[in-house]
Amino acid sequence: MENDLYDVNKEITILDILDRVLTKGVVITGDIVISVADIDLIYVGLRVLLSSVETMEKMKAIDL
Amino acid sequence: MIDDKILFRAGSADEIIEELEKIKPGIQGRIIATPDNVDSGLAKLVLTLIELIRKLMEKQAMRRIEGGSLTDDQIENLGETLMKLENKMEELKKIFNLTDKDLNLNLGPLGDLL
Amino acid sequence: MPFVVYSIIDNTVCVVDLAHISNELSHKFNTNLEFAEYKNLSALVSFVKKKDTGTTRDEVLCYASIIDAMAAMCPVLPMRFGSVLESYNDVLEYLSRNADAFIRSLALISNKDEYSVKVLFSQSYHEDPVGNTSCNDPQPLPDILNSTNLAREYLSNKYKDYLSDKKKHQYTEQVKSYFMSQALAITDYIDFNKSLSPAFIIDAVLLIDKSKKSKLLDIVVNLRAMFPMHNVMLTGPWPAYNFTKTKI
Repeated sequence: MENDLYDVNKEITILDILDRVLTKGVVITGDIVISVADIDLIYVGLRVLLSSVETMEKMKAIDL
Repeated sequence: MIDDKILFRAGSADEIIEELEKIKPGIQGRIIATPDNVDSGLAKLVLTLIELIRKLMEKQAMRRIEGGSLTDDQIENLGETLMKLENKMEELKKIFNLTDKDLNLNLGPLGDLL
Repeated sequence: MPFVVYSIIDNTVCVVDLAHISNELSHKFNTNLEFAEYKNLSALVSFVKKKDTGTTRDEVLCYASIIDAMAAMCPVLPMRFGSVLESYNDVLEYLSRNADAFIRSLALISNKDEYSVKVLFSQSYHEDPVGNTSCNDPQPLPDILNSTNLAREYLSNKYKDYLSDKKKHQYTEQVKSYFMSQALAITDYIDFNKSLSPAFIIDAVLLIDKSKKSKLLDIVVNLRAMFPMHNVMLTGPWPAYNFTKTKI
């Protein structure tokens, strides 16, 4: 019973960790890479895509 | 190595785990296309956008019905169009071997598209 | 030579010697960890070889564990998994380019931890997920949808779904605003995750003063008492993953 509780809580903790570290936290750039046969073809920089009103300079930096 | 971070939990642990598994992010953030699946890779992108528009249309239609401003003929047309659209979508998904879960894009900090 | 970046700290706030931290963590995680320093900022980094194989769950968890161990010693800005820069110099440039933003964020999270509160519908209440808190009168369908015609039937089913979604939405908003009214007393930093599975009522992250941890626990215990039919969970303390995100 003790062990079950431990396993369940650990599993929940791990799922919570994965969600955080894979989708949250500071990013260097937010990207989608579309690759064909292991050759990266299209590099969609989300920041570039979505921050069209900002200046080029600002696009390079990450604002928090 | 990982400490337990649960401070409080009440209710069914199994249900919580099940739901967390559902929203678990994929480990790879890439859309990988190989000669075998290049069709489905592109289809995935295109169908995702079509599905987004379809859902927006559907929602708008429901609002119009709620508003009560549609005529009998308009309702008839609307029902038929939306039904055909959804059926067509299902066909396309089958052709390219895609599920509803595939038809989404993670927009990073903006969350999921659908 | 590419470097993985784990987290960023403010040297002036960190009371533990950096060399000591990097030694201890390197030993503990069997990785060569070091600090890249730019003025008052330091980034915990490790050299990484390019590899062809995919990422494993263990690698992701190890990455998170290193950040967690670091956070136990000093306030950190956690980086997202996959933060790799081409060279050591790029790390320094990255720090210098974003120095102001990093310093501001570090000031915001000092003495605070992140917590998650999740409230979910329980399947045992699936028949009437909204409970008896809202009126149960079936909403009448507009006459115009009444017909045996296939298209109309399709539309009327869609419309029923739409109404029940709407009702569910209203209910979740109620629970949410009840929770908000309590939580706002201990923090201004609450965020709700929007992309959820239908079982979720609340998926919130909060940035809480270390001194107010027990108050948050009280709030969550009380929330469960108010809504005993739902699954409720509180996790933490976490590094402030959700409060260092980039804003577009």
